[in-house]
Amino acid sequence: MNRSHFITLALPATMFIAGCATVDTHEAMTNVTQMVHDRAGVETRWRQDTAADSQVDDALAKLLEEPLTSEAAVEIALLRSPELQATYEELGVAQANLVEAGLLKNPVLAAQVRWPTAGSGTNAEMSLAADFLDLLMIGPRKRMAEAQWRMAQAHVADVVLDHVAAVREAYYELVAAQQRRKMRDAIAGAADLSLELMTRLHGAGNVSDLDLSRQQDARTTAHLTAAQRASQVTQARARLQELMGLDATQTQWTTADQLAAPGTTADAAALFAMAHDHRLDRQAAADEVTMLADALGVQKDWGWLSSMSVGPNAEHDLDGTWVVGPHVEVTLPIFDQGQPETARVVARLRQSQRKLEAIDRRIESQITTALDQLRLAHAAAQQYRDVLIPLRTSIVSETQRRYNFMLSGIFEVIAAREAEYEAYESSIEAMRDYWIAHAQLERAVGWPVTVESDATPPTKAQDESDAAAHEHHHDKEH
Amino acid sequence: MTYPTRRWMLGATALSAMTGGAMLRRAEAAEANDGPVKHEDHGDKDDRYTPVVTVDGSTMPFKIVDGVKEFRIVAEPIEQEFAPGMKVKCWGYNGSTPGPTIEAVEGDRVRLFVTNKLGEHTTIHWHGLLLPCGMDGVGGLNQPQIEPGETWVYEFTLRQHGTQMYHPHADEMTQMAFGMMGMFIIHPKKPERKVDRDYAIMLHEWMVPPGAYRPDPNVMLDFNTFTFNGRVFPGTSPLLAQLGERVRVRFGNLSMDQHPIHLHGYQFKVTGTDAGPIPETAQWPMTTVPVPVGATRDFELVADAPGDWIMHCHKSHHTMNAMGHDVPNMIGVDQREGDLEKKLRALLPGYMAMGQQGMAEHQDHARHMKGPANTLPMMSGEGPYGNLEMGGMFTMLKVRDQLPRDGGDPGWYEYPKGTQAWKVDG
Repeated sequence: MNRSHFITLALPATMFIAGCATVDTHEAMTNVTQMVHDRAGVETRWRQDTAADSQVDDALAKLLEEPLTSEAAVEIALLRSPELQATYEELGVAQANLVEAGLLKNPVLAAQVRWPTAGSGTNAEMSLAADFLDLLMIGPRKRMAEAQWRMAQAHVADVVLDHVAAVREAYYELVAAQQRRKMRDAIAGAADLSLELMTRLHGAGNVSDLDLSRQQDARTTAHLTAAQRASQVTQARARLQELMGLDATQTQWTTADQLAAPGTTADAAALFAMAHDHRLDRQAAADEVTMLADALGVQKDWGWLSSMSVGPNAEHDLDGTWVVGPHVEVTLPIFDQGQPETARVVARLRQSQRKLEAIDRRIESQITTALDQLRLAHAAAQQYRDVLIPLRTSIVSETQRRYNFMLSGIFEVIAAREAEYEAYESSIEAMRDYWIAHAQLERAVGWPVTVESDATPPTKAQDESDAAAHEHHHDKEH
Repeated sequence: MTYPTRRWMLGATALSAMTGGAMLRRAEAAEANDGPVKHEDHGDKDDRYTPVVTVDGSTMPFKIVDGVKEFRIVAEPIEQEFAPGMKVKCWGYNGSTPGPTIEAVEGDRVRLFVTNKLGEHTTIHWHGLLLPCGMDGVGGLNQPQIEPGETWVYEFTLRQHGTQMYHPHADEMTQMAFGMMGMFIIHPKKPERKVDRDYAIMLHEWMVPPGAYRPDPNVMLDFNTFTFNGRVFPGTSPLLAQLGERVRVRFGNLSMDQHPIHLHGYQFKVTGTDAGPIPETAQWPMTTVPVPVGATRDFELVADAPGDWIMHCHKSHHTMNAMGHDVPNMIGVDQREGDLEKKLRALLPGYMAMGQQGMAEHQDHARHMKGPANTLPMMSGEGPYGNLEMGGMFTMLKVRDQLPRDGGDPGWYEYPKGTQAWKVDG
């Protein structure tokens, strides 16, 4: 064997086995985008400091011009949230792992040169060792790395869906907080009028200091409550701002005025089936089970062989001759035949199976809970819309009739109106709870859950036509 | 003119006799204004007396059976219109509250059949009558109760004359709160000085919660509805008299308050109590006769002053229909400053400030604003010169030179020149 033989043997072989070593995350991100779109109906975009980023900024600016719907808020978050962008980088890591798994270990070149302590000549030795086991295992290893690569995508998509749900909930909280503040502001306004009336009654000498104090008390309390609602709006706004990832220059956005009316709901059995098919964390856990079963098979077949390397070996003797030949190194499975490793894999496989079961139980629990919440909130919202609000409205009307005939005082009528506003506030809370439960249900199912809206939500009380229509002609005397 | 037209009973021969469907017929007749009442058959005509007119009410018919005047009385739940717009579920006799007036002559033997169609037992006590104790009608004491569905008979000879009453003496508080009562008028054997007009009015008080249809019998003093013969103004009919006629008005009071009944324009003499006539020299001259609880009072006058003279209880709340007793006092409270009234109207569409200068504006408000169901405005009624602002125990005595022949309402008095108050400048 001469040098040229060596080179002709080793180098092409190395080149052949090396393969492509670039890390391209495009496919992974496409998959993630698809998974998210199927489940949430929105596009994700990964900012990778490319020209495409300006497209993203344009899309963002457009969304911010109009009052946001919950879907617009989600879109903005997916385009902008730095947290999510950080999560996408996990794909780069997974991609790198996949590439690495497809690469063979680099061969090891060993060389030594020795000179005799007496006499002349040079003893040189060279060997090239390539991990043969590595070559044998490349198939299974790639399979496993692919599985993990898919699991990473599922995980990233799952994180995105978590974020989507959080944005939706924050959106509903904000819209509800704004509506509730409106109602409390109206109640505070009514309390202002009551106090003004009482102050004039007091000024005319018709009521006592105690009566005035009581009215001042009521008014102050009403304003304190309104202030609390205003604070809740600020907090809800800040939360949504953070989730959407907007910065301090982008605070002009507004939301819709009200939440949509609740609708009908789905049946639990169908939802369990959908979750089974579509929940990404479940999918990842199932993939892990498959992967570990595969690994167990490989371990059982090859676990006894812990290392094996082959390669050419050449030595230059003192007398100038070259000795060349193959070199093999094998670990003999005498003491350790790979049973501990097998046992480990078995344990991990069983563990992943139990974890899959645990995920299934958790999914069922999450769906059941969210569905219950949805139904309760739906029923409550219907009660408010169909029963309580109409009752409170008619109580205002009846009390005003008594006022008209000087049978009740004006304070009673104002109090009835305040009670009507409170009913609206409670109905808003029920609608908020409904939509939050809906977001949680979709998250639990891992797939969109459509509801049919059953009515328009009640707006603030309309004028009573019998009273509003007439203008007293003797009003001019006043 | 906004008074409902009523059937008028004229002179010596008119006697209205209604039974059973009294309410319905009376209402229909009022609509039709069909002229003088027909003299319905109820036995022998009696010219010993001028028949009593129970304003807005009726007289109980009788049959003479072997020389005994037989009356048939049914105690039953009824619905009565106190005035248009207010119907009340009451308990009465023969379809009305008060029940029809029983009219007889001293010396008559009367036989009264009482049928109980209430849900509970009852009796009838003949208030002020001298009779055998067993006929006195106190349930549990003088007799067992008259159970629902039963008919009992009271029989006795009348040995007095005057204005008496009849009412239950079983669950008395409840049954009287629901309106069970009536007048029992006994004329003297020998007619005394003849009266040309003889009117009977039963006074009563009720608490009908606004928006409700049934009186609350648990109320002791906080009544809100005050009636003359089961009607409130503007549902009360006027009393008529021709100039020069002698007029007697008899009042009975089974409510919880004394009522001082005041008549404008006349000094009358109180001529009788529930124990009979007052001797002439002892008759008190008055313009306001206090009618105590459980008593009757008669007064007489000669209608020598023409005009529309109002007659009413002088307790000012008793001439109002339902009032809010706990409403805030808005007098002196200005709501125009700072647009407070407008701001309140934005909060409550249709809101009008009320009461700053008093309550008179209520009558105008009540014309276009809606009140609770079955509730009358606190004050109403229109005269020839504007709002009357009255309710409850309020009516009029209309004295004219010449009353219409058909017995109908003569309309408003036409004031002769120079006899009315006039405005001056400055």
